[in-house]
Amino acid sequence: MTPLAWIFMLTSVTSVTTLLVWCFKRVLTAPEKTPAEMKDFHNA
Amino acid sequence: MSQEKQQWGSRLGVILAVAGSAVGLGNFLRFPGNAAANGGGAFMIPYFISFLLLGIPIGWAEWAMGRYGGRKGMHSAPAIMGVWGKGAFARYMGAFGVLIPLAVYFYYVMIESWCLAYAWNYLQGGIGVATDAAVSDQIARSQAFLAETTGSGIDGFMADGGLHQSVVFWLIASVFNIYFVYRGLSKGIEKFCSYAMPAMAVIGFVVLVRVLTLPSNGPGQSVLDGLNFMWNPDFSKLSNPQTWLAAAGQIFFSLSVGFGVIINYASYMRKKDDVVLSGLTSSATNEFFEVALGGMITLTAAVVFMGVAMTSANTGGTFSTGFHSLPVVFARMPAGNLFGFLWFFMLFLAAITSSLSMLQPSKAFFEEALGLSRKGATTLVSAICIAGNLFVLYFSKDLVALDTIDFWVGTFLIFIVAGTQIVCFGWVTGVDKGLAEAHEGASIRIPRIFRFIIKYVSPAYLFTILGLFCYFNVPPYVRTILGDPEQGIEPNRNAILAWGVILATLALLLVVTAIGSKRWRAAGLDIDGKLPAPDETR
Repeated sequence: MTPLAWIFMLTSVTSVTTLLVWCFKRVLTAPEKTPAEMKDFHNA
Repeated sequence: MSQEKQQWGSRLGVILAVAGSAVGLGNFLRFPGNAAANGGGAFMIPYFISFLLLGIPIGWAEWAMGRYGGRKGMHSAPAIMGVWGKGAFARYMGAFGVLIPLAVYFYYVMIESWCLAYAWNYLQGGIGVATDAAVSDQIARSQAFLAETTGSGIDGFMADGGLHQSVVFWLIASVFNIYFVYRGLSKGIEKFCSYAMPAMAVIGFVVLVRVLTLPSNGPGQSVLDGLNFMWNPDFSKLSNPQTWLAAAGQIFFSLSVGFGVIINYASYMRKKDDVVLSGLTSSATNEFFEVALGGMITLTAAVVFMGVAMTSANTGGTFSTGFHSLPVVFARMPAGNLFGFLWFFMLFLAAITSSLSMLQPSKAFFEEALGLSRKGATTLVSAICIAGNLFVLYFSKDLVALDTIDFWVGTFLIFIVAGTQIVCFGWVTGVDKGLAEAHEGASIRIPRIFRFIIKYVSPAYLFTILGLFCYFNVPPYVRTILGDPEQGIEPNRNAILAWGVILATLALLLVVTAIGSKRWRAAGLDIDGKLPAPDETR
């Protein structure tokens, strides 16, 4: 496997994995909505 | 409107549902073949550029448009796009946002049922590929099994008097889909995706570990040779417009932007739900499955067992990669039947999380445009889908009917809908208002550079790609319908019939849009986007 293949593979896989972990960390650690906000539904 | 109100149960639920819609066969089968054929590692340069300039911004626009429409009591693409496009033209263009998932379902559930059939056969001992035969013989057997399963040899293969395996698995897949869609968003689609997505990730990891620990089968047939085949960059390909077209197409179709699903799913979110982070997370999930799993598994395994030359010759497209090459890999791999079952079951899960999302937009459309109940709308959608499925199932010769719908609806029209959406978002309603709507309840801010990207770069890039696509890819498909006497090409009957099915379905949706427009106006809904949402504070 050539050095450039290693670089492209590791960069690509690391990039998407980092983005995924960062996003899920933000989603899972963000505070849940308050009951007042939960009532704030669209009222069609 | 009188239908019962539906909402997502949790933020994670909607993310997994949208990611489930996006993650499909293309992630595991189409992406690696596309990448290897278009410069390997170098393909990732246009791929990530397209991700940043098309996938992410148009995705954010669609999420924001959908949620805003939901706040106005609208859940279908025609109604919502009418609001953002401020009039009837955008509303009728929105009918394409219902046509795409509906017509794609006509054939997608067939491919889904093939995956289930393969998984079942591997569980029963394999698909008849001899473990000690030559690779060329094994590929021939794989091709024959696929032809038997799909009936690509002759039209009406399933009407031979017996109960064909494909019909059985199509029925099972159809019942699955209809059942979970009928159960509704939270109890049906969201619940299924909340189990299926983690299950896919676990199975994907198991298969990845197995592939990366395979022993070498001789010179040029090691794991590193396989990874090199996939990732070694060929920078000369970057000067070829087809490479950029392939990269943009892969991003575009993989993320499901412009498909009519995200706009519908987002319409069930609340005003303060975060569409920016949710959109980014679902895109990131899709990219992870595509690059980190799809990019590492499929071709690597194929090279280890078939060598570079045979892999190169048999992994051009989704079908050849998934249904010709991989059965050879499983025939030669220790515990191949187990891994064959796991692989095709994972593909079945990927397909079903996508097909579920294809039914919901049309169900919501019929509910709100015709005033049908959930049961009534589900019944109507099911009847249309079964008719469409039977058409694809019966006219199976060379899979031309399937391919025709896939090209014109599942590929060409997605550009049209996405183009309409980004123009409505960035120009008709205005990018500033659009981004302000997206930022409602957002825990992260969209970088300012995206104001420029959404308004200028994404539309310009998208329409350039559409132009290239029409120039390179449309003529052969036109020839299947019209024929070409100079080249001795006769019009293909199944392609013409498929066009008839597409046009008939579109006509139905346009009529329903007209009926819905009258109903929505009579109900006092702001279908031309002239008023703020009822809960708007700005």
